[in-house]
Amino acid sequence: MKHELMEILCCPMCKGDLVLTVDEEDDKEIIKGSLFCGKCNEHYPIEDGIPNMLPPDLRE
Amino acid sequence: MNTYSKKVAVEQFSKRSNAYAACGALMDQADLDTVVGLLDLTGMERVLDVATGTGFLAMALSPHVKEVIGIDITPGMLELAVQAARKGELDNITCLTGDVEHLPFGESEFDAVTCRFSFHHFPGPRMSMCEMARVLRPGGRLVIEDMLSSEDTAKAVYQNKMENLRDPSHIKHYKASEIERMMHEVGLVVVDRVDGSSDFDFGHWIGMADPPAVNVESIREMMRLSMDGDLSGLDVRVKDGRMVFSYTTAIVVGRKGVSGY
Repeated sequence: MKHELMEILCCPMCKGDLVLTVDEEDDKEIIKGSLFCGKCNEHYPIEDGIPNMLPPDLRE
Repeated sequence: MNTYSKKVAVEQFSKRSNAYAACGALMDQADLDTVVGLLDLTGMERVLDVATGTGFLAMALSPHVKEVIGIDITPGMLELAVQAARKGELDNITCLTGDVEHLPFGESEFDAVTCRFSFHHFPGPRMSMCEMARVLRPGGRLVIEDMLSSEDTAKAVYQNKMENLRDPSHIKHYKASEIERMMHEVGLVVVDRVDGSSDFDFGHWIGMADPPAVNVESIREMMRLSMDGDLSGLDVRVKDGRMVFSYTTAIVVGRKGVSGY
């Protein structure tokens, strides 16, 4: 995902702000990392450049 | 029930993503052009494509807008979309995994929201409609294209029974009037509707979903019985020795009121 996506992305559950952690990126996008919602205490992973924003009960 | 239905959908589409990626009806360029045309685009828009799947509509929208965000519940479908977008160097497409009933965006972030041939898979149609309207800006358009059922309730029930036997992730093919009513309930004004039809070969249609053999026989029998009196509303018929039928489809366009909802 591109950094600019952070401008519109929010927690799917409480719609609150997310904190981005980047583990790996190239010149275009974030390849691996996570998005954290402090209010829900929930991490949403970014893998292969695709953020997984599914609610916790739909993620394995 | 809701979570279970969504997991069934993920399982179904993870197995069948390649079959859907090659589906003629989904990649019909004239139909994609019609949807793009109904959005009145200026090139400045940010569009959300819900249940983007392998990204046919996202890719069709890409040259006409500033940015397309594609969201889908099935990661396997998105991987194909991402690969295709990279191959076509369409770098204004972003894909993410998510659930339409819990969209990870704030209110009014999108100039348009699209949802093509997938609304019938959503376990919570009203919640889904509500979320799509929420992220749409006032004055923005929501376009839903889907296969329909007959307005005749008995025929609609017959059709949906076959669909459930074919694909466990099928929830319901709605009447056009039901889709319009749901749009109205979330504060959208229906401003346009384009009706169409799409012919399917029974064997090809069954093969795409690949249900158990016992279900195939039940559906075949229901299709055959449907020919007399059009019990399913699908106009089942035999053409060149093969069983074929026609879905009625509609592209329904709703506009969000400027004063909100």
